[in-house]
Amino acid sequence: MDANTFAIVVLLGTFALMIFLRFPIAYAVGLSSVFCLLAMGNNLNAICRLMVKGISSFSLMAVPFFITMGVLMGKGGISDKLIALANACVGWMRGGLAMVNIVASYFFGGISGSASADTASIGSIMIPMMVDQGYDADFSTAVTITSSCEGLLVPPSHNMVIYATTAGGISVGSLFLAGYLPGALLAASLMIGSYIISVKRNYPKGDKFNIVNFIKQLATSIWALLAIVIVIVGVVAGWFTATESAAIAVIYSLIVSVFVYKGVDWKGVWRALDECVNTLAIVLILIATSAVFGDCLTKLHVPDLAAQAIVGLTDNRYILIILLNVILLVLGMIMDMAPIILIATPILLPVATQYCGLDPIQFGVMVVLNCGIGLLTPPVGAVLFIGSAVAKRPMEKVVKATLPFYVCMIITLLLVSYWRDVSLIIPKLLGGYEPAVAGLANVLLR
Amino acid sequence: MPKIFTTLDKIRPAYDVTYKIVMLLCKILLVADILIASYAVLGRFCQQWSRQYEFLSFLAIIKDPAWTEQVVLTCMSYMAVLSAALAIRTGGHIRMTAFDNYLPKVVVKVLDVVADIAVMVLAVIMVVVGWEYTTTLGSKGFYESIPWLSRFWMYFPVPLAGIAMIVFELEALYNHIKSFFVEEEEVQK
Repeated sequence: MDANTFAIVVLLGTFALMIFLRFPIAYAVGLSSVFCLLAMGNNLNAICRLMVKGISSFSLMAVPFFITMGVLMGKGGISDKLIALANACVGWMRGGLAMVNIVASYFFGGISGSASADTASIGSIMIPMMVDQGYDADFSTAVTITSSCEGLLVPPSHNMVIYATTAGGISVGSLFLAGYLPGALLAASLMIGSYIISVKRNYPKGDKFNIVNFIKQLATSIWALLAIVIVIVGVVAGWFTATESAAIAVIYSLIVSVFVYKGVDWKGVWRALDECVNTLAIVLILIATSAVFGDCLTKLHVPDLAAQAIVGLTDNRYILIILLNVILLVLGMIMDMAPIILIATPILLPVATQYCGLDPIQFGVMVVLNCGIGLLTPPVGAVLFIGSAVAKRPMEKVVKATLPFYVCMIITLLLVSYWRDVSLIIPKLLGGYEPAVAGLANVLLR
Repeated sequence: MPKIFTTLDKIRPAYDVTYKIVMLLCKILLVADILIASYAVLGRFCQQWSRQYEFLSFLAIIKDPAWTEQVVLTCMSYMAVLSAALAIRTGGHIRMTAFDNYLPKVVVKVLDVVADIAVMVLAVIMVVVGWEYTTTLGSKGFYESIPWLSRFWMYFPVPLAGIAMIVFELEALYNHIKSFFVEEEEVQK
């Protein structure tokens, strides 16, 4: 075994071992990098430099800001307003409340960007409401948790910012726009699935569509939805960077939550910051230690070796894409989103772009959707756990009820994977599409 | 409860205060980040408008100072490391708990202790290596946009993170060891 191979074994072996020994992932990433640097005979000083470098990215500042925006809007009581708007849109259909749940998640996800927040917030209102109207509790929970994944795709999504930064040179604006159609497709496939089940089980319809009510609800919700407009229009039009737009959106969310919706007072805002800090605590240190890990991967040419290994199995791009999806899905089943994005992106992006012909933006959407599905699958499915807890239903029953919706999600995933325009058409149409050649070169040359 | 735990538990209020202070610092850093980044955007727009429209020339007094980006990033570094230490206390860090239900409780406790020790080792490395780098290579030179401020402060978050991790990891380790001897509810007290 040569020195390079030994160092790779140390890096990946110790990492895997520590993950299975239940070490906090952020510190397992850091420790395996330390062991790897020692195995390579390098100075550990690099840790300090790389950790600071990893976290000193202005683009990454968007992550804490988007998280803060989501928390403030959530505390401001936008959930019930968005549910009322969704009800005015689709409540008239068969299985109306299931549809409302799905559409509300599309709106809410755009603001919070968090599937967990969506499940907790929308679920705590919608699940009891659905059960009262005669919907099965497990079905209601399944609809809630699967639709919460729309929020990961619909911009602004902080996970997309993490992907853009990790991949390097990808326009956050393009990536944001790229999430809209896959998010809408996911919503549509879930609605079709819900509709079929609702017809079979004869779930009730809501009130007839009323344009006056719709306009009234839209007028109430417009203040919350404007936060998304500020971010997306600002970034796409080139007025702000993603980070600047996120900072402005935080101030805007504060004003809307405190003065317009009056859902939270200043003390509540201060308390809400605790929640922001607790979430950031998990994400930011992981980004810092992943920078060291990523540097070790690059120095050891692990992305090239992984690419050769994967391509060695087959040269059929369609099977390679399936293979990438399977790898990401399996990782999603055992790990959380941020670590997967930070660790798998540098390894799999060259395979996706060079051998599968995927656009880096399309691959970003694919990664996020795969991770989203991972959040709903045992054994490590944070959203599945939250959904079960909110509905007070056993996890295995919720999983069983979710099975048809997994099919809907997989169909959407395949559309995203094989049809690049699903992700790229909106960025292209709105002029926000920037081919990520520089970013790709970065990854390949690193 | 063994007597030693009763004695050692007296230090817990000090930890509670430390936690509150560190949380306060993190929140202040987050608010500072948001305000500075927003001010930078405002400053840029004011400069642009004051040049484009004569009647808005008074806005030229609001500027987009060059130091904002580096200050924001430095604040984020400090917030990242301090909040990460807080998450040790709250047990907030992501870990793979998939097999917890299938493992005997005592094995999970032992694994927790092993993980605590490993994190402590990483923390010590971060303090030693981080301090060495910060005071030697790291402190050579100044922030580009703040020429009087040493780059020492840019790298100082790494050893600081190590110290904060050790502080909270000691408590976590103590709690995990204590859980071998006392009931679960008593550990939380």
